[in-house]
Amino acid sequence: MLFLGDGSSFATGALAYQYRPLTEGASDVRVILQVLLDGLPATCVLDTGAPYVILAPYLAPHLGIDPANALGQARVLHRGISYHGGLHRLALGFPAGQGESLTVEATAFVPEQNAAEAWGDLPSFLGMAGCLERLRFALDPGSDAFYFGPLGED
Amino acid sequence: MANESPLADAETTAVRFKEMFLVVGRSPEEASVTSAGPVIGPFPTTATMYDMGSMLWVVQPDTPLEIWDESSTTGDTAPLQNGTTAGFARNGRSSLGTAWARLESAAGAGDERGFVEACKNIDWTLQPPDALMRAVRLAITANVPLVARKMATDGALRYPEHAELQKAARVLAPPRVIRSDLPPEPGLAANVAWLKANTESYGGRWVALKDGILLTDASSFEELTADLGDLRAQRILATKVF
Repeated sequence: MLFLGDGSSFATGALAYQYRPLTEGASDVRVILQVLLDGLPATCVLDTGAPYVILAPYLAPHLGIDPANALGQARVLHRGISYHGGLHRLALGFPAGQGESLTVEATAFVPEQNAAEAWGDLPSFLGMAGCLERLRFALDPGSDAFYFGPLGED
Repeated sequence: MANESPLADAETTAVRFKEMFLVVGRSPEEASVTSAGPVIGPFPTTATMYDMGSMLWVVQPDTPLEIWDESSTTGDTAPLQNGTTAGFARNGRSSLGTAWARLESAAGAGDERGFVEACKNIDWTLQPPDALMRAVRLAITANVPLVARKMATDGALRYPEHAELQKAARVLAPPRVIRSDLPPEPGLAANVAWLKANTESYGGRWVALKDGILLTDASSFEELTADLGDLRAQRILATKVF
């Protein structure tokens, strides 16, 4: 789909994204993707300043995530709020509108359920460390397309 | 200062002596424990004593170097009457106890740079597995996930029998591509097209979409999903319209 100068593949798939603010009237527009979290269609914000997949608390019950399987208790500061929760591994799918779909096993932070009120209506977030760091990706603002592909060594 | 150790067994002793004890005074006769930790006694028959000005730090004898920042506390050492050693810090800078306090403080404040700097004051190759696991959690809190990963990975290699470190290394591992040759998903792409086309009319509402078709809408996620059943099995997207 996209190729490096030596002819090797850079991106093998692409999906459309929205470029919108997360709250009405907000000035900070975000890249909003539709992905699969352990097979569940989910709205996520591309956030290269964050680590991990940070799961919206309201989605956790629908993924059957058991807090007992988490890596102990962790605390993550996100958007100025400190959330307690656990770290898990889950399958993050990039469903292609064009080309081939891709699934990676990523690290996800799942806030405790009592964080739902503080979280509000926000979607989940896709960060760099533990999530996007081993993917090639690119944005085309001309067509609102998010291109993705595996690193050659994977 | 107590004359009898309250530490009943070797295991407990080992755990407790991994903590630092701040003692005021320059000799065993003068010393009194000021920390909130357990009292060490008889003093200092099983510990190493470090003099930092008017304060003494007492540490576990077989792990003195691991809990000192050697670069900042290199001092003279001299045997005490009971055969232990004392280090006399010239510059009075950090110890392991201080380094851990800095780690905790930096993590609590989300101070990434401060956390990384504090890490340099600890020789991680000498830390016991529980301490490594504690540091992994602090690194997560400090928002330095790559540091957490390295600590977990190194710790898991060093302590293959430590289940929690093994789990940490697995959970914090770099993302791994499972499949990269899967077919496209036109149904999910149709959801995006619907959202783009209906931002104005459904903005702020919660909608349930399947293959680009609106199933229902509501004012909250809970209301929306109350009667939808298994979202994952049906591949239903439940989202707020942004």
